[in-house]
Amino acid sequence: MYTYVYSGMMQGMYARMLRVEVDASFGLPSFDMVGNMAFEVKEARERVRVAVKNIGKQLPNLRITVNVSPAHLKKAGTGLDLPIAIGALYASGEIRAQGLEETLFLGELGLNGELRGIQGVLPIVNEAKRQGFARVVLPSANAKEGAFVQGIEVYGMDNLTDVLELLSGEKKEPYVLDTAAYFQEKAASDTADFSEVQGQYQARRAAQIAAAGFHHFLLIGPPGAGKTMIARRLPSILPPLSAEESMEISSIYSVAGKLDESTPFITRRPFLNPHHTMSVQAMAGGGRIPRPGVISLAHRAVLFLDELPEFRRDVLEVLRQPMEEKRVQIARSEAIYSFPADFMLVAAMNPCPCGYYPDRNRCKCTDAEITRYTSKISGPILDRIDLCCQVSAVRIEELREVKPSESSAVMRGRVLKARERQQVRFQGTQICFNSQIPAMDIARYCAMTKEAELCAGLLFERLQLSARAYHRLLKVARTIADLEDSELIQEAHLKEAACYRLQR
Amino acid sequence: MCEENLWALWFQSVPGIGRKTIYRLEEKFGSLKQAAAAQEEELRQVLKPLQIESLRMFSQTPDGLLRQCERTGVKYVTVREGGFPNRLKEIPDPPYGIFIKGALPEGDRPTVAIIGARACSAYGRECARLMGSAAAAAGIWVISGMARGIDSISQSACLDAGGKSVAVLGCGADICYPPEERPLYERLVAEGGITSEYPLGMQPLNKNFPPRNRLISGLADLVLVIEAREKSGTLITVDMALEQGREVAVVPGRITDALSLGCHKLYSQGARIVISPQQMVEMVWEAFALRQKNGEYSPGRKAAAIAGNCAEEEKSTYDPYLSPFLNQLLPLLDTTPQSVEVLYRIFSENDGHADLPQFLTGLLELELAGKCRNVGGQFIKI
Repeated sequence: MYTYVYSGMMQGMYARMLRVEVDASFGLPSFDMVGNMAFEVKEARERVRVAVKNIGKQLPNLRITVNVSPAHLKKAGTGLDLPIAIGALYASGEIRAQGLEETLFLGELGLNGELRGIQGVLPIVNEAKRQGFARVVLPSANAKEGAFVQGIEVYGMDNLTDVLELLSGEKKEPYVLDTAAYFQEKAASDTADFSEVQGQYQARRAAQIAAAGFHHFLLIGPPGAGKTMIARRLPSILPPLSAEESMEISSIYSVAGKLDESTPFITRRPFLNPHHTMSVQAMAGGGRIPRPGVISLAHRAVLFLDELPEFRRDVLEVLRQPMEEKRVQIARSEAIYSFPADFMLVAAMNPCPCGYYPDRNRCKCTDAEITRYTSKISGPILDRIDLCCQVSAVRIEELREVKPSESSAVMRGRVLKARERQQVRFQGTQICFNSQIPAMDIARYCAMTKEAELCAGLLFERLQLSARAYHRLLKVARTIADLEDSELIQEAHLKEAACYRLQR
Repeated sequence: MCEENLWALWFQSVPGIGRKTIYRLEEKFGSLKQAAAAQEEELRQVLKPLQIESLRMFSQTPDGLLRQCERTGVKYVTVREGGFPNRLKEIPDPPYGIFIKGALPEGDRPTVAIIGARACSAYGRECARLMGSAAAAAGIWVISGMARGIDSISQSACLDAGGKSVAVLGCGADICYPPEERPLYERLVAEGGITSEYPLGMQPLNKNFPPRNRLISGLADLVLVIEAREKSGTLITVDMALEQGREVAVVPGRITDALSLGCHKLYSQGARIVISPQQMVEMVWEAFALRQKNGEYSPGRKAAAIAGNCAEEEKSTYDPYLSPFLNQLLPLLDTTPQSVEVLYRIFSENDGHADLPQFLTGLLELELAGKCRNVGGQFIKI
């Protein structure tokens, strides 16, 4: 008898629905599988055979053929074990089942019939809901992750027997998750707060501007000045994740295999802090079947590159396209994979190899050494960094000070207000933040007062700005104006923005 | 060029034969032409075996060397000629001949050697600039070594202010070292001069630099040191200057600055101190006048030059053209770069009232008014 059940798999960031067709007919007994399968999918045959035997069922001596369609897609992953088992049992008449048409099956089988977790559940369930499936059956390890998608019944099962009971019509409870409560519980556990940073007024201010306009941000300072501390607290002043954002980010993490039972989905803005010895593939994503790299894991969040000049040059160069297009494309012979990568780059560096320039009492680096050190970062990367801020070492008095500093919550309040202004301004356009204003729209969005316009001309000449640096200046001034709740850019906003310009 | 000089050029271009050997050869044979024609046995009395070997291996002809000089725009002048700088004739251990690209100061022009650290501070930079342009305004030639840091900064400042400058190199006059100073090198050729006692094509070897330094001090009426660490190569030049009887002066710094320690030590050992560009100008003219005992020097010119520089009035911290707020910021700034964080802290501690954005705006206004400069995100007073 012929039958089919539904399953799904991930191809890059795209969830694909699959139809697992099974035919059981008389003939020489065999168990054949076709449909462009990777070896881990082919191995399902043995897992299914043994698991079925071990739960007390038996596949009859029939000629069983499995095909997974669409056949041209390369099948990978172990999520197909469960649908193959169900299909084979049903086609050979071993079990009765209800509602196969509207059910999606996902899960890896153990030899004892136990169901084990797989990767990429969230985007697959999301796609299943979009295509109108009523329920999803998956391993209980993935239940929370799947239940994040509202409007579809998610059954988390421990083993194959439970699944067969469910299909035979026995009453089972779908897994329900109170997403809002879960979010609140997780968000409350956010520990890094700006109230722990003493002093550093300029860096705080710059951090707020960067967060409000989603500007790329560079911190320069001697060792131990607190660059990392400030960068680590940036996510705490970014707006909290919306449900859509969380879904988007969690999907990436799901594909990357970074979700498990303890973190079934992402509730807080991630903070990615890769080490400078990383490879190009780790940064951009890669592998035979490409997986998201660090820049995609930092999507809509903070990518912090500490000791920027120590990164390999090719690793930094790889950031250029994603910083422009907000996504990264990885080409393979079978397909071009595209991962979102709309991150906020926060970089930290020392001003020279020893770290103390321009304090000539401590720094003995020659000008050539300093130039060599700073020129490791290519112009195109620096060109995309809007804000630059000098961080100096904290004094002992400030460390002893008990007066608490401004907390992240207060700073976030200001950031949120500035974000609202931007939302109104960019309604109906592709732009979300001031940092994304294209050059041709600068005049339209960065309206200035008369005095500011004169001042802008003066700054352009006196500071010998390039056209691109001038545009950066205006975009930062626009964000400062938003923070100050001003529709027009004022002279003071421009001048403050000029203090954050990048000095080469 | 007369034949004798051609042979001098030839001998000086042979590797391993230095000025002392050439003087000895001249003494022994009466002229270099005869020395060139001498038999090996005779030469053996003056030269070491290695030098004779080197002479034999040397394949260039005097005419070929002359053509090479002409091609690269380099003049060769020996101590026996009129074009040789008088100042260098006086020093102990003078070079036999020097290579010149561009021009050297005539005897009737005052000169100052401005030397100092290669890795200098922002303060040193500023001083080098001030001294370089003040020298230019007073018609004083700046002599230096075109090294990174103080040397090249003072020379560039001098040229920028329309003055003249000479670089004495530790390599061939046709080679630009350090290579990144190529623009300065080209300007010096056009607006001043490049000189070296090393033959064309000589690489900048370490051993070349101490002898080079004696030419820098030798060409100068006053040697001015801006920033030197306690153990600095600059101090070699100072030793040479003292040996040659040249006046030495230093620019003071702060006793906590490592880069000023060398200067302060020199001061405590008796060097003169320069506390303004005007004073430097006066000191140079004074030393110059002392040298020109025969009365070539006219006092009127000196007075005019100094008056021009003194016209710039005494700087006070209060500037009536700036707003009261900016006047409040002005005294915070220093010649040492300070970050905004530090400046804002001092400002707040001195009961200043402004939030950080206002403070930043103020700093930028001072920068636009030319009162301070932003060095890699930190601010210094000008």
